[in-house]
Amino acid sequence: MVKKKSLFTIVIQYITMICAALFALLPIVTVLFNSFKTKVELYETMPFTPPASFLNFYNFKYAWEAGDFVHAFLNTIIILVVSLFFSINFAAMIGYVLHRFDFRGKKLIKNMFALTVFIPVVTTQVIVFQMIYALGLYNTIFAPLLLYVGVDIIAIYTMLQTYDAIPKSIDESGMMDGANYYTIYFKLIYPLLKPAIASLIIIKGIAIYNDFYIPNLYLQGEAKTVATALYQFTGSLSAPQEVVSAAVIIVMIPTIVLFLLLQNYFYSGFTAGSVK
Amino acid sequence: MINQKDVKKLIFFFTVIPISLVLIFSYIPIFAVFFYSLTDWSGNKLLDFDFVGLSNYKLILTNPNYLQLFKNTIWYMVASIPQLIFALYLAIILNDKIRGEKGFKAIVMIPYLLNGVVVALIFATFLNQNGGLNQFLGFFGIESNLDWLTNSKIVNPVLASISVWRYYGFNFILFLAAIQSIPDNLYEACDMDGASQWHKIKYLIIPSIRRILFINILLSVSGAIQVFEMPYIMTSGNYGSSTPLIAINQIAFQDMRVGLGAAFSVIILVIVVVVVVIQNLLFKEED
Repeated sequence: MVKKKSLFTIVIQYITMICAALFALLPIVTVLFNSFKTKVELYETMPFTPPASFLNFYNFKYAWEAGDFVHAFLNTIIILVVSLFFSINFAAMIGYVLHRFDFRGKKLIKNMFALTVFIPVVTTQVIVFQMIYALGLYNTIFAPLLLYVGVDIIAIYTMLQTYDAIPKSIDESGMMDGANYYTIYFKLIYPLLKPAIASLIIIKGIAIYNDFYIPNLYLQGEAKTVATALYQFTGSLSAPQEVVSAAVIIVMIPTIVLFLLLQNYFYSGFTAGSVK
Repeated sequence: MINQKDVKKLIFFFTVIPISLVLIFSYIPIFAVFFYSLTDWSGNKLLDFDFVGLSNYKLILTNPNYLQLFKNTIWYMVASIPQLIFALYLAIILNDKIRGEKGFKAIVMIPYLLNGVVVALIFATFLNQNGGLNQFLGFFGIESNLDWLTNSKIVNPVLASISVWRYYGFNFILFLAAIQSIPDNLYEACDMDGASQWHKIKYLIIPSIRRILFINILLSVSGAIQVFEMPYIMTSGNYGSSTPLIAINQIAFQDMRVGLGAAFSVIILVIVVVVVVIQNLLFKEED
């Protein structure tokens, strides 16, 4: 049944969309414009006046060097790759045994992970900080790594949902061929987890890339992530405003590019995980 | 032909590391935080502390400066009301297929996806005296040269508004997914009964998404009590914009009064757990 929308509805819809989009974009536009302006231009023009040239990359070069973004991005990439690899694989493995086998303590394990959602990260950090310090990991990237490799319940739920859709006959056919559980898991099941892994990479990846609390707490020295490198621009670097704006754009770009490329995976994982 | 021993081994190997991690970094610290909240531990040596009973709690709950931090978070809870209404309105309006929907969804998600430091610096630029907001107000004939972030009368509502900007897209996407999962035949039944748009919203959409609506409200409340990034980065908690988490950061990691920081943590934990329990009680009755 195709309903004909009234013109009025359509107009209301577009006005709403335009207002909401402006609300989202206007604050970003001013930093974007600033990042291409020269120092003189910045003082002589208004925030919403576009820069004379969008090809003036001087501020970006300055920000990239002043913020030591080469090292910040390297550290962040190492942290991302290692923690995504382990945390997603741990979730896939736990999900597999929880979904395919019955054993004592199964419910306990599930609840143990489910309850962590209700523990605000910060409340445990008072103690975890002392542990990390005692282990000698303060100011090393092993500190955030250790805290990110753990499994969270949303990842487990995402995996459980995926296993629901993988027929048990696949496991059974493997058994018939005499394969052991590890072969079944790694050879037959694992390739089928790709969509779930993709949505977890984008969702958890953005969360880790954006995390400020943990790196700010544990990386006060040379080792910096992108978030804490940008944070220096708020004070200690005392860079001019147009350079700060360029640094902001540098940190924004990877998020936006990745999101635009992988947005379908993002929505599917995001809504499935959050509704739980 | 299932070998029970092999199954046990598999279960062990597939769970041992993540279980150890969650015990070490979540459960042990939770117990420890309760324990140390009763002490004056300074964090240096493991056993170098005295029990002080409940005096840490007493200090927090009777000191007006500390209580003010909790009051500041009320602004963020209040701000979540227009935030949720706006997100719900968007989701209802954009429920049916419309050209440009995908691009629009991406645009309103951008604020949610951005790094907190990015958001803070965007608004530091936007809200200063010569910033975009004052110029924007000028377009409407409102002359303003207010520095929005250094005025203690408005700093908290201003910071709370930034969190509206940051999170309404998140609420919108969840609402939209919930509304779109309402079966089409229910809408058709409404149309046959000649229901108006308003009746559809009131009697079909809102009841169908009640659960997700409620979860979003609770997320906003527990998020408000944990506000940290914006005031920490933008004002360093100055001009009366500090929050409990900023205080913990100072107390436990700079002043090394770990016992007091632990008591602060326990109070936050209790508030969050109470919110969660309320949620579960309300929905238990229904199921």
